[in-house]
Amino acid sequence: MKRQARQSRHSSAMAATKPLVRYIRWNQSNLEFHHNKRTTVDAGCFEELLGIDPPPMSIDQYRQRSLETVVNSWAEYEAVGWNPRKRGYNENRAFYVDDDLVTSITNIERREFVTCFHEAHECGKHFDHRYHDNDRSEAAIGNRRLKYIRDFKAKVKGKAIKKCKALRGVPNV
Amino acid sequence: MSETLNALRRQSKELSNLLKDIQVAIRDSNSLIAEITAPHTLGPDVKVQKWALLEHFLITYMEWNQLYSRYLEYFGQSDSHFPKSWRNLRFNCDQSRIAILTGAAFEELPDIINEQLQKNEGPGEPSDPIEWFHEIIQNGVSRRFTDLHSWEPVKPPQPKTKNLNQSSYLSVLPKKEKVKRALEILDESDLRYAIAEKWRGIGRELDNHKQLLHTKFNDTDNNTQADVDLFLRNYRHATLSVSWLEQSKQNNSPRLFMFDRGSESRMPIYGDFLRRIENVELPSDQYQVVQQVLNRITNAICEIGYGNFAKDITAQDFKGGSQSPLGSDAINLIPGEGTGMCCPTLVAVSQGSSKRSKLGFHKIMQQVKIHLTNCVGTTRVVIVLCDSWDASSFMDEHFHELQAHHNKGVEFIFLASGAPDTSLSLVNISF
Repeated sequence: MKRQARQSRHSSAMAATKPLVRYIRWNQSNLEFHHNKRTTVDAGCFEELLGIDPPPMSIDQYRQRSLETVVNSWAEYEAVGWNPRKRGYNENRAFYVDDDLVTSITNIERREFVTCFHEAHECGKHFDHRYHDNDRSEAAIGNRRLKYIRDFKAKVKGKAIKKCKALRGVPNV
Repeated sequence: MSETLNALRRQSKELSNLLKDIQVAIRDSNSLIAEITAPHTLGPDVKVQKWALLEHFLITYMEWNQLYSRYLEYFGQSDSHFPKSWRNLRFNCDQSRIAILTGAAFEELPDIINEQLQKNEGPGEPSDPIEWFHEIIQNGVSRRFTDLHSWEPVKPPQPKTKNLNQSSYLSVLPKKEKVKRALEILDESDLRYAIAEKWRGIGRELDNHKQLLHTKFNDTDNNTQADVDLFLRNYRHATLSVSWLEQSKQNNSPRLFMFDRGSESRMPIYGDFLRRIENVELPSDQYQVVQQVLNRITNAICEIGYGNFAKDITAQDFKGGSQSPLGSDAINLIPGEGTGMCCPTLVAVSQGSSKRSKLGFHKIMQQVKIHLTNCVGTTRVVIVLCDSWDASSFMDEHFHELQAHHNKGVEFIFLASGAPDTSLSLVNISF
């Protein structure tokens, strides 16, 4: 009962602030799974973003990047997202997006990471990773945020994400 | 209130803020790639390139304006239903649209947009349904964006506002000034034509890309296609991009629909439903109404699903009409507000089977029976829509009373939605 009350207070207190990052943990097997995916299926993507040469990105670098995404996020929202593997919706989760459009997803209590990935299409075509928009200028960041907002709205309209509660950076659609 | 009206309300706030930033950006004399701030949209500390802000504004306005006009047709409302502030917002946004898309200061905008579109194209293919959905929508939005320059201007909301047109403006100028201005207008026309041609060129490229996308999409697996189908259907409902509203505005087939997997084969044959009323003596105009209503209902449910259809029809702000999901206003609707005149055709919409719910089948059937008693001799065709069917409960509670009405010449068409809720089938009842 006390733990539930603490969790729900924690959740509502996050409405306009970033969470205390040190409290967000990775489940080890989940971390290994997602790190493996980033360095095989999406090989080269994070390495290019982080300037890691030679590849592959280490598991610690991936963990660190997921934490930094939350700390540096400009957008935060809670939503239920479509899971193409199970062809249904996941449970309610918290989403954080930074200026490279890397997204970290945590459970709704913001205690545990679910995944961290690079949004495929907001930076240009992503499928073979040669089209990363590596422009880190301030204005390019603003451009990307606007594009992300439009894509976010389309996903909400299509219910690729639903029960959406926009907290920072993105509009309520 | 309907979800659509709530969405319009939320989006109008976003658009108002964006307009404040745009009005500053338009007056800014720097080039389109100059960095500016958009304090109301992104916050005071974030920089953005002017062209990106203009693009974002135009797309946001385009989507809001389309939903605004479609809402009026779909829900059967008039413009005065909206707050005056929305009418002012629409006019002001449109003035900005015209300034951006036809002004000399923004002559290079089509080139920049085209460059961005080229950058986003690559040899790869989307790898999951959400990426496919994004690609399809992105193509559609960009394509509609290229038509923005040719939109008819929105009329000012206050009719008494003086808005001098060209000819009256010219008539007050001295002769030398008239000639100079006439030459400027010619130059401006040439420029506008050149800009319009650029947009049309981008539009043609996007059409080619769409064809390519469609070919690749047809080669994806069934699960991906089914998921994309679901997202597109939801998007279609959220933006009211339904076939009968889109087709009335353009000659070619609606853009989203070419990705609709086998929607034509999924469409129930409403002709089969019409056969139920073969023996009912109806004047030809009334028969046409029934035909129209059945056609529209089957289209609507196939495109947006029964759940969305029922939610819209039963919303407080739904008035009906020929452009609504019902296809006609020469009908009675249950549930509906007020009593009104008795019409030969009644449409009743139910959701669920709970006896306590206002929209449950039981309560809706009770209202149908009351209506038949009140409109005896006038109501000839009753169309009942439901998403759950309990045959034994129907026999116990409703069959005999309806049979009595049937014996007096009323014909009943019961249509039940299935799984997924875009399918509709006739429930066979023999009186």
